[in-house]
Amino acid sequence: MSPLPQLRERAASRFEALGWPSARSESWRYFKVRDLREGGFTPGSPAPSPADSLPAALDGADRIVVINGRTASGPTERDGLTIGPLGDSRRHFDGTSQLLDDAAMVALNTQHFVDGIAIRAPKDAVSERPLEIVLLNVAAGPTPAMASPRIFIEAGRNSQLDVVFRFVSGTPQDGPALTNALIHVVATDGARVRTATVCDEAANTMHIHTTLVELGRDAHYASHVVMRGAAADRSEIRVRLADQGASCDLRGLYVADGKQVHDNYTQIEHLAPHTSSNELYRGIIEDRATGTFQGRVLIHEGARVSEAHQLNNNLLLGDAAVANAKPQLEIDNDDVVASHGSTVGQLDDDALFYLQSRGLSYEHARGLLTYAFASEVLDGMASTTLAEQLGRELEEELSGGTEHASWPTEL
Amino acid sequence: MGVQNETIHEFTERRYDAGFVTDVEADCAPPGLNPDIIRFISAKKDEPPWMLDWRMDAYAKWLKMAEPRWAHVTYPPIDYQAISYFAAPKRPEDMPQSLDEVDPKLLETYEKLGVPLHERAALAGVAVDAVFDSVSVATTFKSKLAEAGVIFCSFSEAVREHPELIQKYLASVVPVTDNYFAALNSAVFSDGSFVFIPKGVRCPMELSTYFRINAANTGQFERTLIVAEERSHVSYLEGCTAPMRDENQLHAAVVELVALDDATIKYSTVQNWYPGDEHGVGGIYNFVTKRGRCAGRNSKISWTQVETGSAITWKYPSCILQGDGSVGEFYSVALSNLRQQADTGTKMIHVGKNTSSTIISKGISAGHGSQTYRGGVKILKSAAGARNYTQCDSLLIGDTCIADTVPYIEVKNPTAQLEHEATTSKVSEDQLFYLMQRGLNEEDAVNLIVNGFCKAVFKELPMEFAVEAQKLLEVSLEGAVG
Repeated sequence: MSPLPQLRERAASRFEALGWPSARSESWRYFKVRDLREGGFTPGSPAPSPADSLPAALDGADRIVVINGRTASGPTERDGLTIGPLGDSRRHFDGTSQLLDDAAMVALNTQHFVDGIAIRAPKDAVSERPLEIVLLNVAAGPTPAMASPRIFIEAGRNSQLDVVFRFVSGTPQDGPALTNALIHVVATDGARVRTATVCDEAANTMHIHTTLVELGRDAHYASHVVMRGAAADRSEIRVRLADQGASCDLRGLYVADGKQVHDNYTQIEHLAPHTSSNELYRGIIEDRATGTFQGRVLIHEGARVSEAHQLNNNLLLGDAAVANAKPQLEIDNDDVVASHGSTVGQLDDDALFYLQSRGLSYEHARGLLTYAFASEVLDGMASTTLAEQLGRELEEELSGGTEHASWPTEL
Repeated sequence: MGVQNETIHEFTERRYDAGFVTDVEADCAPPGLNPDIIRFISAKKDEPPWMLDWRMDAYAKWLKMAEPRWAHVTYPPIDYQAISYFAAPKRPEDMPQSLDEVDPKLLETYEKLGVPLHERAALAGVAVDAVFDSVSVATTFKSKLAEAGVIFCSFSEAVREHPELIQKYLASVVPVTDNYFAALNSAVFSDGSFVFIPKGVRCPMELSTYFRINAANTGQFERTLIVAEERSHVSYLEGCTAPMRDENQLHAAVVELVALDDATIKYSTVQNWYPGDEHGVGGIYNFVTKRGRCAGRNSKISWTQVETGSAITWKYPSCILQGDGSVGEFYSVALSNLRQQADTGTKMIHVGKNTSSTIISKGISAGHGSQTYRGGVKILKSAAGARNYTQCDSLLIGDTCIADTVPYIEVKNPTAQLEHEATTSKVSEDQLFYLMQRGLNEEDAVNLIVNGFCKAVFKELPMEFAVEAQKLLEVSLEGAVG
């Protein structure tokens, strides 16, 4: 019997009980919860693929295109990976079912997702190129539409897999929209999974994605989240280091301007001995924007010889910009090394002066320093092409236009 | 490992040294909380009508509030009707005029605590306003302080003698409805201390109060108010112990500090209340609201605390940095052993320009202890050029303890500079090895390391307190290797 109807029913009743996330909930307190709650979002309808809104493909590879939560095109097989709809296989849902109890957005996604994508890397499979998934939110009418994409990734023993998620909006984007994505990664023993998530949606869109990761023995997960677009972006990543030697490396870059709100919440659970986690999140916050990082690390009782490090840096560049940081360590064990650091500040005046004394304009110097601040986060990304492309775009954007982007020829 | 286990055992089994009961017949109010009890307390203290009105108003507000549950502590529900809200030593009419008149049994109590009031006060030049079960029984060095214009007296005396000051500053930092326990305290506070330092006066000596909870089933609800006028300076010491009791006792104090232009207040606490036994039976619930307001330009408030006692500690000595250029500091060592739970930290709220704050917090968690650092640094939009440095470190001893760190950082001004760092680890094997290969035995090596761990805080304590604090931690430091 298919577990799906029952699961959807449970999800619906859970969401009914939980309601939209509110500022009373600790991890949502800095988000635009009111816009979310009062947005009147209802499941959107299918839309044709506006080919011109798609970003240029990475590495020229064939890619998966998802429009309003429905898979529109893409390969079913690549580099040994099998790719298909979620169907009604119990294993695609089991790992998330207990989360329905307290995570409203997970419940909402479970209730409304349409077909979803399941990606499976068999044992020892090593995929050379990253798999690119473009998720398009096209709101055609004035009704606030919600897309609920859902992706399940299973990496078999000792397999290696890179996946890139690019969240974009169709052009023109007419009505308000909400993307509520769920990404579920299961990496079994010795597997290595890297994901890169780029949130680049239109200004009338709210974006939320929840990434759930379960890691087996000696498995490794690396994540890069880059937030640029949307009225409000929220990334929630929950990692369970469930067996010995599991490790993860989470990185995030949020570049917020205007009145944008960029919200990052990570939760890493160390459940087994010799597990390690590392986090680096950096925010560049301009104008009246808000950038938030909340990182929760739990080291459970049996997780001996575990290591957890966390670093969050914020550059506040706007007069009314707001930065919030809440690192949270919860340690129930004595044999651990854990640390977190957090800074909020501005560009170093001395460094700015030095660069200007070498002939750079103020804008160029500022752009260069900001880029330097941001670029470290992009290291080790699932797609080097994407990392380079993002780096170039950032440098251009931060130095206030292309005319400053090159080194002056006359000194 | 044998030696280690033994010392760990010794340390976790250690008895509460200050656990004894002085047999002074308390003049208790019947258990329960209702308007009559509040009238009783007010009448006992001979309070003017405005004070009673204020209490009744607070009580009405408290009734509408709900007990907060967000802290990382667990305890059975408190029955507020089972607590007796007033306990005074037997003879309130003939309050002793000098130390010689103090009931010898009280003095004995202090003696056992290692606080020989008269000697210590004289030797160290400390004026002690001793609070014994909520009523201030002796105030020393009053005349010398009066010469300098300093007012240092019990809260109830201040209500009678200096109503204009009390009315002006009471609840000006911690409003009645600030939180559940502050409202409760406002309704039923029994006594406490009042300090007023006039313009330009540097308080000639360090002021000190010893709180001690004695009678069973009595809550302790002090109120402390310290006002430092322009260009004044005061250092205030607070020490707390309670005898051994099986019933959990509630302590909900409110401490308010006000510093005007260029004034400095230094507030130090050594808290050694009964922590309960190894099964978590008994011990004090220490739910305290402490807050200082740097109201004036370039004013400074500095909190230093050493928290080794109480079954549950739940407090956040905070600073509101309102005046331009004002400075807030928080230095803390908190130890939780046995089944102690501590959810403590600080809040620094930057309002004025060029305000700066420093937070140094050292948490030591051992046995089944649970330790949470919860801190908030808020830079408001108006706080241009604000600066904060935060360091909170946790040291873990034994594999059944818990250490959490929950700092909140909210910045709304782009010219602010903040740095925050936190670490959690056990005693480093490398450091231990290095010290031992230099000839130290394991215990001395651990002592040295943990002393070093706490040094940044100890050096902020007044001398006498630093000695006491080190003594308090000493036992805990022995065999601090897991």
